[in-house]
Amino acid sequence: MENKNNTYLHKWLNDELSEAEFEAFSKSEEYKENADIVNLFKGAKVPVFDEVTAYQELTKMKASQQNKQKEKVFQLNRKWMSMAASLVLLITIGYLSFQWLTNEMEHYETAHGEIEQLVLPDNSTVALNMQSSISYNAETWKKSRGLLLDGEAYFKVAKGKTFKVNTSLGIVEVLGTQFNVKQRNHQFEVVCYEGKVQVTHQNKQYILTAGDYFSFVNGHIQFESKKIQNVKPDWLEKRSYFNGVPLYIIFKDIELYYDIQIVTKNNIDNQQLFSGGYKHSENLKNVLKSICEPFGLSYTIKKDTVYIE
Amino acid sequence: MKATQEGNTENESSVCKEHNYHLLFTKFSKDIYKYLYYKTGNEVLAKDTVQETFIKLWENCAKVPFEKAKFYLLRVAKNKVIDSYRTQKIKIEFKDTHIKRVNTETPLFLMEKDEYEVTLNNVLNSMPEKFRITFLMNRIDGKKYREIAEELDISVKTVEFRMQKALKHLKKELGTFNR
Repeated sequence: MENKNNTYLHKWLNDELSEAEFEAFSKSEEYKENADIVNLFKGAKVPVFDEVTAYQELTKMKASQQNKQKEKVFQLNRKWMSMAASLVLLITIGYLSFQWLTNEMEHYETAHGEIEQLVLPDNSTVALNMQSSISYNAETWKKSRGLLLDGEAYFKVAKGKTFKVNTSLGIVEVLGTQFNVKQRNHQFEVVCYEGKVQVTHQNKQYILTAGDYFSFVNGHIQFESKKIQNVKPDWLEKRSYFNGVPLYIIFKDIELYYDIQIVTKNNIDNQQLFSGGYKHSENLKNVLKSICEPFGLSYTIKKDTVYIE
Repeated sequence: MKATQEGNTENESSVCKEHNYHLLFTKFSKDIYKYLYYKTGNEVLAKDTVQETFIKLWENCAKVPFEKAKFYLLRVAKNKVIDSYRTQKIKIEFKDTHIKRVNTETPLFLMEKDEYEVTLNNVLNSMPEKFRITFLMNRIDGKKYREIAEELDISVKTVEFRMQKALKHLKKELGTFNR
């Protein structure tokens, strides 16, 4: 019965009932239940949709859309171009780094407190002082022995062709020898311990033999023969020794080995020469004391900074 | 696929031909508008979505065969509405006065006209979307179950089920308003 009525209900809603069927259905409980609700929607309307105006608007939108599409094409081109550009860049970087790798540029760097002993391809040795770096091309090493130094290093060069140390302040060339090169804070210093060294500085050549000392500090070239008695640089023995060196260089030296910052008052004459030395293992206070006292200076230590007055 | 696409652009019945496109608009824009309106109860949104939908058809005119255009339009319209739900986060509601009675026959529930409209629209608003769309397509547009089934891509049985559910919902909700 219910099933039949259901069918009638749907037929009714679908407007498919014959007159006889409708008559039968209209007496049923189901009709009475639903008729009220169905009648509620008689003549119900939705807000008008104006087709003509809508199509006019649409035509306008289509036109502007087509312009946009043109822009899109252009943007796409730009996108492709930038993609292509970055691809080219990537390939270039890739190629360069490949070159770099195949060239086998060796690079060594030391941090604070590190001294590194390195052996070069020809068995020459390098002692690299702290906060220094060297780089060289292992591939072409046999043809030309040359490296780039930033900082300080002590070399024991095996016999052979010219050995070149390039720094930003000068070039040191040798034929089997032992020497120290220091290039820090605009200070360039070469000490020869054995053999012969040629220093090129500002297009001038200087020949150093064992014990000779070359320095370029503050625009002054100092070239002294047979000055150095040591067989190797002081820093390798973990000490610093100065003979008539301006104060500010000493301070730079202390800054390096103690990893601190030294601030000097403007009225202090930094150019005063100091002779003396200290061990790197020495207490910072003692070092400062031994340097400051002769000059009548005082110091205060605040964290990592030393103030000198 | 490529062949049909190319065929479509050159074919006389291609949607890309202005007159065919216009024909589709006159044939289906109203249906789509109503579908969207029943779905959302938001007149402005429904109108805008119709336009967006037809723009999309224009963009893809070479890919859509003429005979499949209605189905395509309805699907796009549906997705566009879902998009606006998501992106604009608008809560779409059947606001009062949206569905209006034109004849002045006294409603059986003895309500004032305005009151009736508010109530009816509230009830429609609380009805699940699927039942509402089906029911209004039948009751307002006078569409047969078969037509609704085709348009919504469902079976006639499903239409029957939804109609029954809709009636049940209305009975229940309007009953509480009244008694």
